[in-house]
Amino acid sequence: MFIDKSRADQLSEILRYLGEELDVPDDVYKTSCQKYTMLADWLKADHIERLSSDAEIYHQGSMRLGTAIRPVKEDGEYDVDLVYRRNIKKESTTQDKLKTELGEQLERYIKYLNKKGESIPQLVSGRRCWTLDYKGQFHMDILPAIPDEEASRHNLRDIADGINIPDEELRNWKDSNPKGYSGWFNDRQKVLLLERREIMAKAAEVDVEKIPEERVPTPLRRVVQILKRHRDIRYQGNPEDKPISIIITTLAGQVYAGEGDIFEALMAVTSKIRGEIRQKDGEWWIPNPINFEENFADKWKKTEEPQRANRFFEWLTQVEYDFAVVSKQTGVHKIVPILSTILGESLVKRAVERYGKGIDEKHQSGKLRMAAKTGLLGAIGTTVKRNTWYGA
Amino acid sequence: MGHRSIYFRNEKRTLKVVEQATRLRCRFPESHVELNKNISMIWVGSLHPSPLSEIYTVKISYKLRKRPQVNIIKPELAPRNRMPIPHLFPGKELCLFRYKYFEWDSSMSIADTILPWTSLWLLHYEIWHATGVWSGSKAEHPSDNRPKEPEQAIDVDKNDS
Repeated sequence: MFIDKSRADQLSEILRYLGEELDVPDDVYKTSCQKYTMLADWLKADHIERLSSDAEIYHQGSMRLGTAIRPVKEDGEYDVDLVYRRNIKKESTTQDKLKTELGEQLERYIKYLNKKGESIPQLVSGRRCWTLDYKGQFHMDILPAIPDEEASRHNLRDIADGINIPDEELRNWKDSNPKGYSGWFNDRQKVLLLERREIMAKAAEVDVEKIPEERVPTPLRRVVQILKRHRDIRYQGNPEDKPISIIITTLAGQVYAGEGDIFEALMAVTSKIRGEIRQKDGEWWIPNPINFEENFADKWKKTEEPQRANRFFEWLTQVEYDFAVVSKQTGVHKIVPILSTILGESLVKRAVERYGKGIDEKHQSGKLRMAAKTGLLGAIGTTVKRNTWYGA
Repeated sequence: MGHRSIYFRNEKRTLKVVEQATRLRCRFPESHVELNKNISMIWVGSLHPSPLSEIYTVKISYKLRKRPQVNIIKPELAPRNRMPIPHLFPGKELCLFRYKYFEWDSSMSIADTILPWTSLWLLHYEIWHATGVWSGSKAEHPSDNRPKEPEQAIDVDKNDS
């Protein structure tokens, strides 16, 4: 779809603020990193001590991808998903044993925290993982895993990072590769990621390595975050019907073509997603880009929950429609209410307020100019002198 | 150039109405000016504050040495729900500056001051409409919620700088 470049630029600027509001706030990110590091060090040391074999704990999911978003409920908690990869043989354990052992370890970890006088998260058992709930901020889902010795059969990259995880019934092993997947996702935006990371490092006067890759706000990340937010708002009343994040992220990553501006990327991605969803043997087929055997649309099968496919296409139609309306509407005051409806009122309000403050800062610092003939405010034309807005 | 700078160097001089009009037309060639001898003028032109903004038809009425009065002709300014529009004088005239702080006097070109402020006012207005918050700083907030009487113009020819 054609959209005037200057309009797209301005929308991108508003969405840049919106993305910052949508992203995991710095304080939550820092606290979660602290808690993660403490847990990872302890689990690893404990594993080595008791089993004299190695273990590794790392992020997976949206925290690893940098696409995590603020919960719709303002006091909602963020998800931090972790993998606990134990370097043991498949024959030496079972799915059930793996989960039970992690539970025991975490109970001891909590005792350790207690002794140290640290704040105590609540330990909750999931179907195949355990949750440490740090009330009011985030909860960590820790999924036990073992190396996938047969990863080369189906994985297309990062074979050494392939893992086996218990399925939800704790009966079978499932293939997974969170590191490989995030590697693929980052490769889809390689140039911009590198570029923006360097800019951030320069601005902060630190080495590039000091800027966590997942904290670099790239256009692709913002697009995924905005699409996920759109979904969360639309399915607020019936969250169990939501299209899953991995499908949104995968499709967006597949069709993203390196657009440098958020709105431009958003329009390009939403216009191409539909064409990316294919069928194979009469069933919907959205393959894991790094594991050709895995179909993310598995549950859309006719024998499973085919209504999921319908819901996804309904949502996609809504996305296409909503952003087309945004791109055509005139008047900031007429565009913002549309954004509020589709992305949430308080979030959009905060973003637009910050956008307004940004304009004021440019004005106050003498950087705002007005172009002749049009009156457009920007970097060209007569400097807008400082003034006082009289009255209330 | 040299001639001009010598001419303006020593003192502020009230710009003639025709000078104001010429500068406005020069900056906005498609605008219209109606001159009333050398006493007053009315300028009507279009402002497009930002790419996403509406295009506004703006009227500036200026009587020599008086406060330039700025009104938006089209589209009509609208309150937000029941919140009155901020920074307006009675008669929906835009409040753009304070004489008190010597921000404007009749030696200054309307095209370089009033016009950019109007464009910025309109952008802040659209943002205010969207958020309920006026994002321009240095905004004054007197206890009563409507601007008082407009200030008296400062006559630069009498207040020698």
